[in-house]
Amino acid sequence: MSTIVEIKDLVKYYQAGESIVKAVDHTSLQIERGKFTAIVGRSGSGKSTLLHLMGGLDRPDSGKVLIEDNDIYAWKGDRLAAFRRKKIGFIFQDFNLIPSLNVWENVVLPLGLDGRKVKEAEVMDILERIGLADKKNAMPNTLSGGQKQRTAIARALAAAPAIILADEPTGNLDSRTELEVMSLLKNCVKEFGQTLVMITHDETIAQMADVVIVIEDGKVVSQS
Amino acid sequence: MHCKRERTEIYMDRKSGKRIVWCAALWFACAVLVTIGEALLVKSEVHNREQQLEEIIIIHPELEQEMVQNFKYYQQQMLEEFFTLWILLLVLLGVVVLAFYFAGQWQQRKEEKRILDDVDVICTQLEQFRRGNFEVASYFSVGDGKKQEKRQERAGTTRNSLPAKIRNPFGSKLSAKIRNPFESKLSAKSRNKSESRLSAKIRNKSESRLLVRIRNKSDSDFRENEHWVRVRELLRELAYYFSDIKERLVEEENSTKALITDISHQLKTPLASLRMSHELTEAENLTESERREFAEKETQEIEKLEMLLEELVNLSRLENHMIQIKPEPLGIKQTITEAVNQIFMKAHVKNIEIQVKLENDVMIRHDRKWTVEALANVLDNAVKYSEPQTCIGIRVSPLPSNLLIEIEDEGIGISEEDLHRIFKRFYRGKLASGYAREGAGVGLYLARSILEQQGGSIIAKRKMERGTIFKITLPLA
Repeated sequence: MSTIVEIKDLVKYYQAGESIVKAVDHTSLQIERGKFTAIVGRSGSGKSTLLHLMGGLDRPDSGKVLIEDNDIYAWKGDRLAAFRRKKIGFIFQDFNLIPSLNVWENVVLPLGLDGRKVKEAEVMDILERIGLADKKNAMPNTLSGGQKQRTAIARALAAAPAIILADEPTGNLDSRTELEVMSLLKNCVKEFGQTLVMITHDETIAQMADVVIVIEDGKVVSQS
Repeated sequence: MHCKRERTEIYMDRKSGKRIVWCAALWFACAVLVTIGEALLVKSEVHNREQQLEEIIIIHPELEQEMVQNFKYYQQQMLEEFFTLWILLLVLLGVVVLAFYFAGQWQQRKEEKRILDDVDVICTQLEQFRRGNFEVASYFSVGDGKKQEKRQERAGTTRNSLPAKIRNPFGSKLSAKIRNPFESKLSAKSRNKSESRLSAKIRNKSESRLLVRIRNKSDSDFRENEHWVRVRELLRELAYYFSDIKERLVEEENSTKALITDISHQLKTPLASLRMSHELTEAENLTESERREFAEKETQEIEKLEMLLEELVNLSRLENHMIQIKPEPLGIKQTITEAVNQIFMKAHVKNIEIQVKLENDVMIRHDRKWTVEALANVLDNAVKYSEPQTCIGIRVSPLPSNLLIEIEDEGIGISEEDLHRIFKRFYRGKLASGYAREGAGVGLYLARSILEQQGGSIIAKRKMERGTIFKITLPLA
């Protein structure tokens, strides 16, 4: 399989009081196209920072992030944002839905921001697959945690990005719902030929991944 | 490629021909206008002079002869001058129209060259694909290639990024007027009403026309750029697709080789054990009871070997896509019953109780034969790694889109570091290898493959105390 994301000697340090936190410490890794990669690590191991750097949400102190051979940090704000909108989809632990928009509007929002045409049949197909077709007019405050996360997944899928970066997507869900959400996410990503990178502290959820990368103190300690 | 070039040339020739006709028509129209204008001027001049002549003759009738001759002479001179001017104007018009034509031709050549360059780049990439090199040429990499940069600079990726001159060619004053035509009308009112209104009207009209033209131009540039971006994206996707297919073929070949090596390795141990038992049975100094005991062991080894072979055959078939899993809406109750039946005797011998909690039958999309195989593998695992006098529980509960099947045992459990490896082919956990000799690390791998091919999933969760819970999901019908 070809590499879709390549991280080369990435460094990101934070100043916490008088000490320096090495969130990402000279890390290099490769993410294979079309696979589900889980990045596992304890809280504070630097996995979230790594994911944010991978998605162009933060800037590294040094090192490179190559997505489809493009050095994303060689670009300036607007271009990086345009590339991110087109190539990367995000799923967050807190769902990040817009409370004043209904499910459908939340799902098509990234398309509108990117100036793309909304293909209703395609979006409807995603909602059906994700089991939200009957909730498309519902407001976020009427949805359960699982339904909110499924909406967030549908929103990430609707923009048809090449890569989906998920930050603890089941962190706020109970164990029964987390399995269903993960199952849906994995199947959809597989069906649409996308690459899924997920960070989690839960080794159980990581079992569903094709590749598991273990990270400790900002460094990759194992990859299997 | 040549064909494309020829087509482009034909298209360009047609375009050029049209331009010639258009230029000739323009010249002709201008010439007609100049001619009419001059004719009117001449007519008016002649009329004035004739009137002057008549007036002079009335005042000085004695000079009539002389005056008429003079008049004819000067009229002839005037006509010659006007004729020369007419010829000069026609030539000048011709020169302007020709200049216009050649400027158009130059622009067209430039455009033609750019299109041919683009076609060349696409052809080079396709040629590279044909030769089996599926790498994306640097030209198609987003952000790479000076040409691309230039193109984006020229056309702009968005309307907002159009160069300032194109966006606002008239300066801020004018654009303000265009933005707010009422404002300009109001200021015009305060000056000379009729005059300024007319001039403002004309100005606004011409300005907005110009603006529309420029907008159209930038729109066409934008569209052209958008098309090029689309071609570039498609070619890049195609390159990745081909590249993936190529790599997948290599991966499958390697995987088949690894599978053969793994299978032969897995078969070696039980075969060696069987050979040893067989050799012992053939020894001459054995008593009848010893011989019977070794024969029994031999039978056990053969049974184990048969089971292992069956697992390996299933595995290799599944890996090589020889098995077609066809999910259909069926009740889960019978599937679970069949799976439990498969391991019931094994559990009974070990004195392990199996409890099934399933209140109502639930319809799910699954292939019964292979789902039974997957569930039986998980149950077999639970029986294999559990102590006698323990219990295995099966619980079924529907989720919004899936059915959750939980298989809970009181066995040896799985260490944390083994947790994400237990579903890998031929992987046996540290605790498992120490506990039971039988097993090749195929069962859970096979179960996961079967379930995932039906849109399901499986995970193992460590229990707080002893044991493991396997959670399986399958999509509801």
